Amino acid sequence: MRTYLSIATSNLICIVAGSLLCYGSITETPAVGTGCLIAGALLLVGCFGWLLLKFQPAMQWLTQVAKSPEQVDSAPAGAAEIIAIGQRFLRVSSDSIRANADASLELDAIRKFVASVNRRNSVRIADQSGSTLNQLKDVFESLSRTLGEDVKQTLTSGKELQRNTEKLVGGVEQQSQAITSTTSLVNKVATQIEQVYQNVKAAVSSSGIVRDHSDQSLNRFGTLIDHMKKVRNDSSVRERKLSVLGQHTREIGSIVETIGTISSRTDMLALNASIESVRAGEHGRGFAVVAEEVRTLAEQSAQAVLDITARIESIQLETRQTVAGASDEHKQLDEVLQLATETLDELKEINDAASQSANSVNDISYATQKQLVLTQEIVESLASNNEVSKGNRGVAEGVLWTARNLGDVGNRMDDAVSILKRQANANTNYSFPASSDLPFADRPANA
Amino acid sequence: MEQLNFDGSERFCVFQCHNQWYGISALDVQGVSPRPAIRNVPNSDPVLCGISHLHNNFVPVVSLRALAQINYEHDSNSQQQLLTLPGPPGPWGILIDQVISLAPLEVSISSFSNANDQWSKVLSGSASYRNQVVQILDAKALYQYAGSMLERFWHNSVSADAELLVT
Repeated sequence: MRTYLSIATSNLICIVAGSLLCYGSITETPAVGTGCLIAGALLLVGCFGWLLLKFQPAMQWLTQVAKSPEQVDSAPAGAAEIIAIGQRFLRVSSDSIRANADASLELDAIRKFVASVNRRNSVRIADQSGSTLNQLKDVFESLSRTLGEDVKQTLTSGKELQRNTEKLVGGVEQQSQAITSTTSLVNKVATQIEQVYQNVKAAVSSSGIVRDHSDQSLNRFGTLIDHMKKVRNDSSVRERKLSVLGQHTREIGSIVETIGTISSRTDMLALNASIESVRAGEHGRGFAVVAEEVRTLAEQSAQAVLDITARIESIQLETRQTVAGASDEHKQLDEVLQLATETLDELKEINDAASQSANSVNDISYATQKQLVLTQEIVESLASNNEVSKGNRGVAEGVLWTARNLGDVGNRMDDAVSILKRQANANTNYSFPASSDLPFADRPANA
Repeated sequence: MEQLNFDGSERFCVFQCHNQWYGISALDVQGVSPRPAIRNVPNSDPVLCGISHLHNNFVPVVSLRALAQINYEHDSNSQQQLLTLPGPPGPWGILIDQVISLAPLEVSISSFSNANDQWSKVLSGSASYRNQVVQILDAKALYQYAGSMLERFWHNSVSADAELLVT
């Protein structure tokens, strides 16, 4: 709406400037005519300057869009289409500026002609010579021809601008819908990533528990192996002690055997003593008693030696069996210790694998958390893009409205050029157009 | 069986040899010792085990198993004992398994003491001791029996040598 008011104001200023120029050229008072011409020229120049300042931001925005091909390549399809339309709008705007420059040249020619008329200081146009009228006719013909071509070109450009702007509005609408759909999908992805993140957090906790239990099991198994080694060493010491005990028992058996031999000799000696006492007759009776006692003691000693020998043989048998059992126990302990050592190595490998798994799960958790943050940033960026797209749509609608008004203005200018042509073609019956025939006479006051 | 007069003062040396129990008067026994080293005598009867050096005397050792004609393989048991008996030229010994005891025995004169068998003349009687039958040996008859067997062996051996020389 603001743009429309700006265009209407510029048109009004142009009409006022044209009226001042016309009045300055036909007035009889030189001072007033010169003032009107200067005022009209200043109004025209000011109007063009104001229009340039008014449309400069939009032109800069379009120029910036046209000068960023990388953004065109990376933008979605809707944005690319909008940028293409903007480029075409830029071309049309350039054509319009060029047409305005041509119109400015034509106005300068009119201003020079009016100045020559003032220098002649003629009283009325009707009294002028035929050469002056012919010259004026040529000027108006040239002016109408040029203005007609420019107006046609302006109308063509305005229509193209209108079509492109309509496409731009449609593209922006599609872009907004696509961004909304993409935002919904990214929200779903973010929800899934959040679920994955929660699962990974649970896995991190579980893997930590597994690693802790594995460490405890490893330590306890190491302690168990140490105890088993101590038991094996104790078993070895016990086996050696039993071997020494068996050796001592054999030595005792040897001593007992010696005692048995001594007892046997004593018995035999007592027997010989008894024989001698018998042979001694009455004199050997007392000696026979002593020899008999000695022989009895020797027999008791022999009997005791037999008992001790039996006990020692039993002890030796049990010792040998105990030593054999201790040896078997030692071998079994070695085998169990070997198995325990292998199991400890496997437990260490399991512990290492659990640690690596825990580290991997931690890395996954960190990456998932980062993905979640990035996804949330993508959602926010898409929402911002959606807002920007909505703003672009409003701007495009404003441009469309302006293009339609520009078409109306072009039509009215075309009508005015037609009237100017008709008047220029009338050679003798030249008269100024009535105020009702002016191009902007039917223009609404509020425009 | 004729009962021998026994006043209870005579003691017998009871010994064992090849599961047989024998007894000999303690007055005829000089001593008992473990089996000493015995040197074989070449070309002698199996009755003579060999010569031993005991208490500074050369003692001929006679095998009781051979005299009693008991089936035996060899008297080489180290656990054997030597029973030394006094003889006319000096001590001599017999190999036995083990001396059981020196005990008084109630001896009965056996009926086969008058038989023609030489070994029967050696057995002067029998007795009972520790539920075992003890054959009482006559030391002098045993000595004569061993001497006769050795003389017969050596006589036969010399005759064979002479015949061998003649031929």
